[in-house]
Amino acid sequence: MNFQDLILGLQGFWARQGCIVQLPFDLEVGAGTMAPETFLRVLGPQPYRVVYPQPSRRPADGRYGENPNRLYKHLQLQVVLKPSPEDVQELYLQSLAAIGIDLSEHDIKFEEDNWEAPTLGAWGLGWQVMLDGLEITQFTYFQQCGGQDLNPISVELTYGLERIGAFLQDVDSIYAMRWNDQFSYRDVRFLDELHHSVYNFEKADITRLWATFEGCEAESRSLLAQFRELPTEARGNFPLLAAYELCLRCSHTFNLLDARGAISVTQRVGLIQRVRTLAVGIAAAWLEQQTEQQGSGASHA
Amino acid sequence: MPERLLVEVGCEEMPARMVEDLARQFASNLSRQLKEHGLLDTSADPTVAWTPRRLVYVAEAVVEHQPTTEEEVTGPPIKMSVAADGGWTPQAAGFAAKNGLPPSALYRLTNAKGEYVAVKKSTGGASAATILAAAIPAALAEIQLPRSMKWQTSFRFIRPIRWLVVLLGQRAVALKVGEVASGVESRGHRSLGAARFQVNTAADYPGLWHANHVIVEPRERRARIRAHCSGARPDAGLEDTLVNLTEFPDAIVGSFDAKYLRTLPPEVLVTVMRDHQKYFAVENKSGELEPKFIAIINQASDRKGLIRHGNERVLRARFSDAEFFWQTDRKLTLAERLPKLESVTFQAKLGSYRAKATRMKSLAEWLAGQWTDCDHAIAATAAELAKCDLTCETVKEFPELQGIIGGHLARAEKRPESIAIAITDQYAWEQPPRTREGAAVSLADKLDTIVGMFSIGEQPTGSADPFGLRRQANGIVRTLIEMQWPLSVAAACAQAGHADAAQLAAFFRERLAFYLTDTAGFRYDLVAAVLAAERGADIPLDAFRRCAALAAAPDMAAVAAVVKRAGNIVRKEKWNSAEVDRALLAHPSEAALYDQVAGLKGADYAQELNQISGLAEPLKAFFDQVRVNDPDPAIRANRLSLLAWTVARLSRIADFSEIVVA
Repeated sequence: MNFQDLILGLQGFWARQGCIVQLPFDLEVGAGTMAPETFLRVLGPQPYRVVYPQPSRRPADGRYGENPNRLYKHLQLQVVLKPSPEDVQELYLQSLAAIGIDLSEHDIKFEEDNWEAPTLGAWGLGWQVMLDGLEITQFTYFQQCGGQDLNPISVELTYGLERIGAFLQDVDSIYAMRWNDQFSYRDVRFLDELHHSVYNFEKADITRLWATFEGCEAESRSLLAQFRELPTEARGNFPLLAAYELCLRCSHTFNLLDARGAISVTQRVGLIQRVRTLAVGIAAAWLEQQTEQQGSGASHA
Repeated sequence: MPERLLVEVGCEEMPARMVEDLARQFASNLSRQLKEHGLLDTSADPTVAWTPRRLVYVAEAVVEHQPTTEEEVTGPPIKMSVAADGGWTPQAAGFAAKNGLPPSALYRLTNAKGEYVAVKKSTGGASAATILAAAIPAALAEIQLPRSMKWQTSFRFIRPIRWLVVLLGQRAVALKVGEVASGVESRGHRSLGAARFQVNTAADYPGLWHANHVIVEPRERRARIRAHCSGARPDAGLEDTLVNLTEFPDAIVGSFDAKYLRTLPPEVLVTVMRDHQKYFAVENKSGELEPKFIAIINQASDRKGLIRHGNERVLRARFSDAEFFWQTDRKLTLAERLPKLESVTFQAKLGSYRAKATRMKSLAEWLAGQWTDCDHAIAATAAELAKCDLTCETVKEFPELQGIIGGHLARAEKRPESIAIAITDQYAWEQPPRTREGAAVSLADKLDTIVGMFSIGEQPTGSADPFGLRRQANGIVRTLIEMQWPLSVAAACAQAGHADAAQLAAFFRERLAFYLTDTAGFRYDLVAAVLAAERGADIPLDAFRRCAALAAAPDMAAVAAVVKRAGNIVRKEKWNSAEVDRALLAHPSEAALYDQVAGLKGADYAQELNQISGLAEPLKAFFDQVRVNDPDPAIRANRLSLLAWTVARLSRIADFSEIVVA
């Protein structure tokens, strides 16, 4: 199965389960969870189902395109099911069948894995799904996001597409995968890995990165402060989504600084806390804004 | 008729490290309730079983109804109960109503105190179904969970509960846990059994589960795993994990390129296989690794070899990664890594690991000088290089291999084996270091951490010990005792830095007490006696030897009792002097006591204790024949001093007042 057929197969399967097929979020994120389609949608009471592939950038994991198993930017397929359906494990296993994995011939284990994202104030309980000894999916019942207790509970499925693709094609290097019949993964992505590894580890200007971090943080914080000062009725169109994107920029800039070795162990904790403060503040504000809008909507009806 | 009760709580996969405990808690909660309600004989011992997806409880001979007991309840006196017309008064009727009975149930009763009304009240008789409907949800809710989750409603558990089977004989018992209602439908192994199967009677257990490829009894799964693991390096922890990670275990034997046996340290191979992949490593008869592994699968077979192929592929990728890290690491020597430790923070206020390495070097050198046959130069060099492997990629990838990687690097750069061993053994959690130089390095590391943390006010308080200082101190105490190193902890701490000596002494004393009671297994009061003695707790090895001598000494109870009596008198009089004037000892008993105590000098603790136990008689004679409160103040003072001196002289090995005399 070509790499792109794997993506299409999983998207198709989840589309048939009522998921919106979203496009990847168009900012740098470290994980599909950080895209607003997960981070903000799991907040509040509205049911939602969505599937999207998400390039996830982890600058420190870059290997100049030389390591057959590690990437600076890997592709996740993210599924969010809200509320969590009763047969969610069965649905997940069916999705594997949909990409040609016959479970009667393989060994599947759900091994405890408790997920936590300190910068997002988010955690959940679940598993890493192991297929013949290979971790292919993170399966998480979200309990808290942006510091908010969730109700209803959402399930997040994060498929590691390169790993599954290399498994299905039985190749030892991600780069040897066929993307489609004409092109390999190397053809499509190698320069991306190489250039960004050089940039992340050697070229990124530390002073300007700090300025970016500080600037985005200041802008996001200022937006949150303005939101807090507005009377309830004037909050409806306040750009919290922009505040959240600024928070994501901080997070990515932090990762770049980290890859450049510009962050000491003591600084690290403080910086994570600063990003987390933004994420938690935005989550709380977002919930208020949503609740207020639904409240006013109900009164017009 | 008593029936078998079968309860199956079906869950999404529970964590392997917890599921046994969850099953046992559930069973014990449920048994307690059933016994309290009289549904189950108090001597019954129901079966507890589990898989990752189910907690199972099977109790034989559960009665269908609670036994009924009839009890006579006495009411008000008859004169208040019978009205003028001969009928019952409202008071008597009220008594009957309070017991749930009509006035017609009242009757007269005469006892020793007079005549009363009474009723016969029966209790119990509730059906098992009614009791189970409340007891099972309660038994689940009462399980102590380290961390719980929500999935739909407000009910919390370790993972979502998806089905419940409750059968008493052939009858289904209706109940609800959260949003899940009980039924008679269970679920088979995910790919080998039926997705759903119906259970008709509690007697279907365990055959019907077997038929659906679910081995519910953990000991059967363990037996299957063991049967497949001949040649595997024994690993009880891994075996437990795999028992609790499978419903129908089988094994595959995979292989890997033998070149990794040469290009990677064996600890790396084993860590990848065991910790990362949950594989058993395979050894040949002389204990060397073979290029093979055993993976336990939750499948009946691997007919096409796909599972083996997939696992080999994953292992190949992991080994190839590790090989890359290890080759990168070998490009720099340990000494070349020293400057890199500047940027690895040990603790914000205590500086970098580079600074720690310098401190460890001088401390290890001093420590080596405190012991015989401990090479200063080896200890100092090993201590300075001990933390260099923290800058290695291999250690970043496998933090559990700290020290071990450093040891391999030392070997690879042809340093003396004694240095490699000392670096390897610095953590020494499982057992003391193999060499004296290794002990010096290990102690230098731990003492530096402990004294450093105390000096910046980061000592453990109550249950909070964020830096694991207690564990570090346990390691020190254990090393000193088991390697027979008579080191003074106070002297070593003073050498390690500036911190409150009294606090450190109290901290180490507590750790020593823990070792002597919990690890060495000495009686609590003997340990207290030894630590309270004049020789104290400062030299752990000495305390251990006194404790051992005291534990082995023949009966010390008699002398303990009289020494205690002497101590009480001294304490009551607040007597401080122990200056005895031999010339003032008029009575022969007191002179005899003095001479015997003065003559105490055992070649070792066992002998001295033997002499001390011989002092019971002269002490008793002193109390029987000599009056301490002599009218002459000088004689009185001299006798009190004699007692004080005797108590002090006898308390060098152990403070006998701490010994519990049965």
